[in-house]
Amino acid sequence: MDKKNRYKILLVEDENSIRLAYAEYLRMEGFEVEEASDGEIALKKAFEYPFDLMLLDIMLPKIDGLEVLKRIRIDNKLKNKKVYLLTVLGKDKVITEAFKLGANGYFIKDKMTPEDIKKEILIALEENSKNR
Amino acid sequence: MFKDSQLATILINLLSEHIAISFFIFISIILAGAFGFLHSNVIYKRKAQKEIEGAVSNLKERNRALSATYRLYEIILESPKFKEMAQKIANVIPQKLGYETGVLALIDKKENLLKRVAISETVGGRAALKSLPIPFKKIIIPMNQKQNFCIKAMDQDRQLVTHNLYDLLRPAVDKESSKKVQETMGTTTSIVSPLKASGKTIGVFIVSMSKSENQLSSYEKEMVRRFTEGVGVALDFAQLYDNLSKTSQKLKSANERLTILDKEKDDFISITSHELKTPITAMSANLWLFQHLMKNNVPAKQKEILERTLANLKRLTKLINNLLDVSRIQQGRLVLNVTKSNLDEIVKSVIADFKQTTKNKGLDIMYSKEKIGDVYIDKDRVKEVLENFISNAIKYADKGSVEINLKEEDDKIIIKVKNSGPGIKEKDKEKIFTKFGRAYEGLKAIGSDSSTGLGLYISKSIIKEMGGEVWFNSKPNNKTSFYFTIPKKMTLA
Repeated sequence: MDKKNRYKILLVEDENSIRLAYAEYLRMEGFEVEEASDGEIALKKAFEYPFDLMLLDIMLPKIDGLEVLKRIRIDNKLKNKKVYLLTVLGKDKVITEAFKLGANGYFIKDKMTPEDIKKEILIALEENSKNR
Repeated sequence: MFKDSQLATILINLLSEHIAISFFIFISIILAGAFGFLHSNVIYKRKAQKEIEGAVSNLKERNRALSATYRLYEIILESPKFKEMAQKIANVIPQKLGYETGVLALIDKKENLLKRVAISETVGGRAALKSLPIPFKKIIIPMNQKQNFCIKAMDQDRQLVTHNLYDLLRPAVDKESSKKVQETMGTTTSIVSPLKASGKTIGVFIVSMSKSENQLSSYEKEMVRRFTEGVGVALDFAQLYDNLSKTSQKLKSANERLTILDKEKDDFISITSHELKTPITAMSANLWLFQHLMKNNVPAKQKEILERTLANLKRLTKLINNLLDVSRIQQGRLVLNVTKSNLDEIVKSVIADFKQTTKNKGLDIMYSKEKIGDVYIDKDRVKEVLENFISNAIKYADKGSVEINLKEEDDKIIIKVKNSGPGIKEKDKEKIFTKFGRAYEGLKAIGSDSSTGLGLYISKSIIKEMGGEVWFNSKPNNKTSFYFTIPKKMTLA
């Protein structure tokens, strides 16, 4: 848990009931979680909160997920941060677009349990720490 | 349909008559000369001269008819559109034959009316249009108006001549007005000829002229009759062409409408699916979390209820995803996410997922393989195909086993899923890989099963997209094997 405690997740998801379930579970698993419910808040928090990995929903109010990603990738301070998209199956075009914009990967919400997502996050973060 | 030959015959007839008459004139001149020379008789000379004059005037008329017919032929070739052609036809007779007005009227079969279609763009025609008390196109004669000469000519199937325009306009235009129109047009005689196409009367052609009937040679009347024969053919052709254009236009717009509808259907499925997915995902995540939190503290019964609920949410998600996939396949936008993958691991994980199901059904699940290296595939999609094949194999097997085999052959990997089921009947074989193409036995077997009948259709599309193939071998009451291949060097289609 000590190791995991270092991991800070910025969870961007506008659907309250999904965001709360994910946040609750990840906190239980020892992650530090900061929540954002729209693109604007997400960007604001991205600059303030030193996250290790961002979980970013695509369809968001105010500023959509792809735009958030775009702005993160052009910012000198944030451009190397891990950003994983949260999506539902059937968003092929958006995913292709997201990879072009520099997404590190994506998680399919309707196919993966919160545990599946946690496992993938850990793999990504372990890689991250190895590369550091 | 186009009665070219008929027109050609008319032309040839006129031409041959033309030649015959020329020859006749030639002979007449020689004979006349010879007579004059021999007898120096003034009477003979006059007679001969008269004959020559008659022949020359006949020839002139025939020449005009010939040129009018020739023009008609040109019209057919250059303007297949009905409206244009009708107008040109109305123009050609007065212009070429020197009459004041030409009018075309056609039968409207549906309404049983004779309707004016075109009037010549001549001085007479314009005068008629100006002086008519109603618009030209409003001159509509019911087919039962037997006193009207147009109707009479068609009924009797012969050409009629009148000096009274009212005979042609009644009852649409009253006697007084008809008289005024006739005066303005400056015409004395009108010839009404029935128009025929493919043996059926389709309307009339009217020519009006300043000449009186006795100034009109029988040849002129004949000429107009012949001309109308050609007109019938031409109009028939034009109407066919118009119908064809209309039909093809209708087909085109029907096709456009269908394309739009199809697109709307796909959009509808796409949007609805996504809207449905959000609450389902929320339910699944929260229920999963609930289950996770309770872990071993849930009594067996409650645990079972929870699992049933989760299983149904999963089923609902799968159904929506299947519908989305079908819509994607139909739009040709199935996207693969190809990565280096270990096929053996994929197969093992799918088998593990089915362990409980096979155990419940008392089936053995067996897996054999050759050593296979890494492959470049869409991991999730191949997993999906395997799940579909294996769940089918389990579904249709009541006893015995489900065998899965992996082997390498030339440049591809063949995956086989075999079961000991009832086999697939001959009549059902075609349906297997089609949308909702479930075999009859399948329908009986599924009962409350979650199958949508889309799995194998989607599987086939996925494998095809990866450059592989799918097929099966089955005999009734025997083992059934489903196969799919993955090219070792997968190239994206």
